[in-house]
Amino acid sequence: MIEVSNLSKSYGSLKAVDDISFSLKDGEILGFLGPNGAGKSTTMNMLCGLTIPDEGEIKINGFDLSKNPRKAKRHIGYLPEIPPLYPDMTVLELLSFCCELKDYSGNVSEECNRVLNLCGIENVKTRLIKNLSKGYRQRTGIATALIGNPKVLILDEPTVGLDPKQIKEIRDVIKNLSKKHSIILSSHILPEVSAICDRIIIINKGKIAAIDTPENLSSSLQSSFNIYIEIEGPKEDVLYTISSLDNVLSVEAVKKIDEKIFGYMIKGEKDKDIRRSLFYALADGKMPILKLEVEQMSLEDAFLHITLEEEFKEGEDRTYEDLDNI
Amino acid sequence: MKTWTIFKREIRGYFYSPQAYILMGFFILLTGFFFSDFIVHTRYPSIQYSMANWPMIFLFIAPILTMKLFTEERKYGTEKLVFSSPISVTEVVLGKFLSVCVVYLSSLILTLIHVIIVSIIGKPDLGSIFTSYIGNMLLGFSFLSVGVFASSLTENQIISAIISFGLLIFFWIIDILQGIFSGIPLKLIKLISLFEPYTSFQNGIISLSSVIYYISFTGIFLFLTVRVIKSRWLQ
Repeated sequence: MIEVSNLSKSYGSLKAVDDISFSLKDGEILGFLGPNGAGKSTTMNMLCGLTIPDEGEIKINGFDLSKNPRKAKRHIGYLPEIPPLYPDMTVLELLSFCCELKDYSGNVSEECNRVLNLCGIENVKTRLIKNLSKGYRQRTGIATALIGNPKVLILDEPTVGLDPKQIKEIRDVIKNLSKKHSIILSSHILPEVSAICDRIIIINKGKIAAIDTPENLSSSLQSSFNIYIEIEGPKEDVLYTISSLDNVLSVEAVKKIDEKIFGYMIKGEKDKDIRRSLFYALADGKMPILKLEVEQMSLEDAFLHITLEEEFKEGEDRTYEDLDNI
Repeated sequence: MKTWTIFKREIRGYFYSPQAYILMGFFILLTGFFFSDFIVHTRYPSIQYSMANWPMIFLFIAPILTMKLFTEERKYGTEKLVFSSPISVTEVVLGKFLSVCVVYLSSLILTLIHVIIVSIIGKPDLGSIFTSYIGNMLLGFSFLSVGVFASSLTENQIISAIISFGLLIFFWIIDILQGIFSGIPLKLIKLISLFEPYTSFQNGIISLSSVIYYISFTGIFLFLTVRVIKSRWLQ
């Protein structure tokens, strides 16, 4: 649906986007993740033809954006960070304006009603946008992106400013949309991205730091199989029993719950599940397990790991705020 | 044609808000003042003399009328909606320009009441009134194109108004300088003066060179607007 190759954009000496390539498949939800100023919005602007890239090629539904902008843009619905709304129009007026703007050939009022229903804003359709609350404005913004049924939706932080109930609703809307649309979505809310995206691109300093499914991202970064366990019994015996097991790298007591009960952190070898042998060994020693938890590296950790690691490697301390100001 | 889409939205914006009415009212009030002042003092039924003041009045109105055109798009971020749609920059600029032209033409139409009044009380030279209207229209379009250009330069309406006002004052002052210079500088001044071609319309002549002058002046500023948007906004 979208093919991006070797995309670059500099502002003066600052490389906002540096040689990015990726593709978006039909019906896929792709998440853009990255710290502030990493180049997410710049990349999205380039995909919509709002920023002309210095180098690289963007193909939307087979049409080259620079050579055939009209045909390419017809397939895009874009929601920028700040929803693009004319305050002096009513919601319905704005949507029919968007219909015309996007060359929608079908029945305009039917299309408006469809989108109004989808975004749950039909009860405010005759209100002026300047009188709407933040949540309704955000929904109206999403509606402007959806109108005309474009094949690709590019949503820049679509759930910002919504209350938790609305966030859930909008997420459900987005998930449902992916049946008919391909979606690129940026966010810095990690649970959101991991909940709805099929694939994630982590962008850092204008480069793609990682690109994979949310599960793979967190598991690939995990270097060991970690278990937190609470056991009743003498500490030395427990430590001895556990450390004598196969595939255990290290074990330490991290928490004292009461005189006899301690919390331990066990690091096992990656991809080796030691929970069963652990259970039998402790049962033999009459040391009951009170709690056991497998520590998954969350996407949050993966994200921090990737972005911080990069920074570590390069050893420079450029502030991300520089990029924000552009 | 997307120009029509943009045009409709802008016209709606002008006439659904007090803005167009206030500016048109201001224009009618001042032109009416000059008109009645002349008739009352000279007892001579003519509108040519009061019409000579119209460009000066409109010179103050044009910057205010045009200042919101592109500045608001940037302020509300709606330029992202417009330019991510299948539409060309030229279509957007033309649509916006035409909408302010229509607002200006509406106020010109309202001044026709002056023509009706002088026709009742005397026998005016309708031919030269007609050419003066054509002249005012073309001159007004040139003013508006400068305003459209200025509004593409900044995000601030006040700054936009000041820029277009400054540019228009420049073209006016250059006209005054005609008395000081002679020879080549004078020719140069006459060449770029926005008001010089207007005099022929006042005298009842539609001169081709004046028409071409105003059309190309307008065209150049609209073209510059397109360039500014392409090179500064879409970067």
